[in-house]
Amino acid sequence: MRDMIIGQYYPGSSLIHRLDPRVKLLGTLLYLITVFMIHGPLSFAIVTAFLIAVTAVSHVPVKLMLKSLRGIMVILILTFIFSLFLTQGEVLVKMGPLHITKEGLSSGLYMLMRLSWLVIGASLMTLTTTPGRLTQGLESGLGFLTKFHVPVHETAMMMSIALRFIPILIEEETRIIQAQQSRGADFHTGNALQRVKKLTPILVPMFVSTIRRADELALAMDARCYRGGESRTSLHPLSFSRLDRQAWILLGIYTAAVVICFIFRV
Amino acid sequence: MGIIRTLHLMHAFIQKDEAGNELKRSQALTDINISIDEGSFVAILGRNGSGKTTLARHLNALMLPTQGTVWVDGRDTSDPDAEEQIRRTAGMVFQNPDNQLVADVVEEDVAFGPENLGIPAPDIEKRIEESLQAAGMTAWRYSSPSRLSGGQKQRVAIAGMLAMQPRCLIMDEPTSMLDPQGVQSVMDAIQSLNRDMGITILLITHDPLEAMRAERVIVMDRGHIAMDASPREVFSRPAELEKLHILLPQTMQLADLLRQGGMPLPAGIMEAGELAEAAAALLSDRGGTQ
Repeated sequence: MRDMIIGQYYPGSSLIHRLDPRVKLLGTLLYLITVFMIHGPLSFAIVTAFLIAVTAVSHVPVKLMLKSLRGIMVILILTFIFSLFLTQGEVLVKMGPLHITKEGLSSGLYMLMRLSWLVIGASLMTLTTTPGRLTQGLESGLGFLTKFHVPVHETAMMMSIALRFIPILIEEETRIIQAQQSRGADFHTGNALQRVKKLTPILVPMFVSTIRRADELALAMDARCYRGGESRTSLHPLSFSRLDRQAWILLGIYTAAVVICFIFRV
Repeated sequence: MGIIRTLHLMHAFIQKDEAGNELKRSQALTDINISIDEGSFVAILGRNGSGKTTLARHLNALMLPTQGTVWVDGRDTSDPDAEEQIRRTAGMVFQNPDNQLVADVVEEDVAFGPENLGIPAPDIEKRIEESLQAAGMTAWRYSSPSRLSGGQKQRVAIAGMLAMQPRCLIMDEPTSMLDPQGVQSVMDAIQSLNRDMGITILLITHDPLEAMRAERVIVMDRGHIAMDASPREVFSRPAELEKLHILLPQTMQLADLLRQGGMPLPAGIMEAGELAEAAAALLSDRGGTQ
């Protein structure tokens, strides 16, 4: 669990790593939209080529990217099975009351591809961007929302503190569970309801200690002159480089190409 | 004039009901008058509940006096406009290393203070280098705090404070959650900051061994200042310390027992070497007269 969250970032200095996080965020968003615009072999080829090209440039091992699929394996399999058996159309194979149709097979494969492409693309962003840069990119990219009284800086600060505290809280949870088990608590038997009830002696101390931590952290932030986002500077200020401008142009061309394919359904 | 001064400082924790009536009042600090000289290393020693943490929190405006005044570098802590300047002058390191680090990367955490002060990026970069160097944590600049030991985390916290370039560091029991190795590394870092960079150190502690490293020891008890002298003087009054529930370090306990046993050891022995020498001198004297 610990390594799943912290080890997400794959350190490197490829072109993709060096891109401004705002470019990567918007790029990922555009990519996700284009995946849903695939309606024929040509658009599929363009999107796939784009995904392969970006992966190659990022120097992230393909194995690591495929690992991100493991988390949604169950969803992938279920989606495939459901579309395989539940789509009406030309029957290919009959198995008792169930039958596989040609349309089912194609839509199943299509869903499989679509979900995998989505997850691989999104994980490429988190693999090449540190959580800190990501929140910074979100804060700066959504900064205009401050005008509409959306607490953008505060939300970004909350996200980065959450990231910082995830491993600490996991450690604490383990410790509390072990402490309860050493006093005879049993978390593994009983039906679902009973087991949920047994979580109380874990959750209550977790809440108490989290609130205490929050209190202390607030004091420590006070002592370091934190006063919200105003007049704050940044160690690594974001600025668009030539590389980013080139990436914008490529993204524009790519999106336009997929949109045109979408219009002509190819 | 001291960098930190208090005059008749009082603090009471007051519990009120919904209507604002006072329910319970506990006096945490009573008439504290101290003056800390710039560049000195002062320990505030006391057992749990003696008011030492409350006192520390008054010294950089994290708490405000119920009565009396605290000045940091001549600025009154109750003046809200002086708050930032006070906290830049007197930095605070807390007890729990986990609950004072904000960022997921060491260098980003050290940058947190300067960022808040609105320092431009190239200068922050320089401050990070200098403060990590001073805290001996340069090698871990790009690590995640969650992968560091307690002592290392505490030194990151110290570096984070140093990056604000304070003239005084207030340390609230910085070693109480660390293993012996961590304690040693943090105490060494503290001492070198004082000696090499001239930073005033105020070390809050319940450990007499740590207090011995300071040049002045202020002993707190039930919100009062019970003793205020050099460590040699403070620790040469074992009977008084016992009343304050402070245990003497082993060497001094031994010296004290030897004295009670009739050995005329000189007062103010602090280290094992000193004790050995004094005892040897006495024994050889005795050998000479016989």
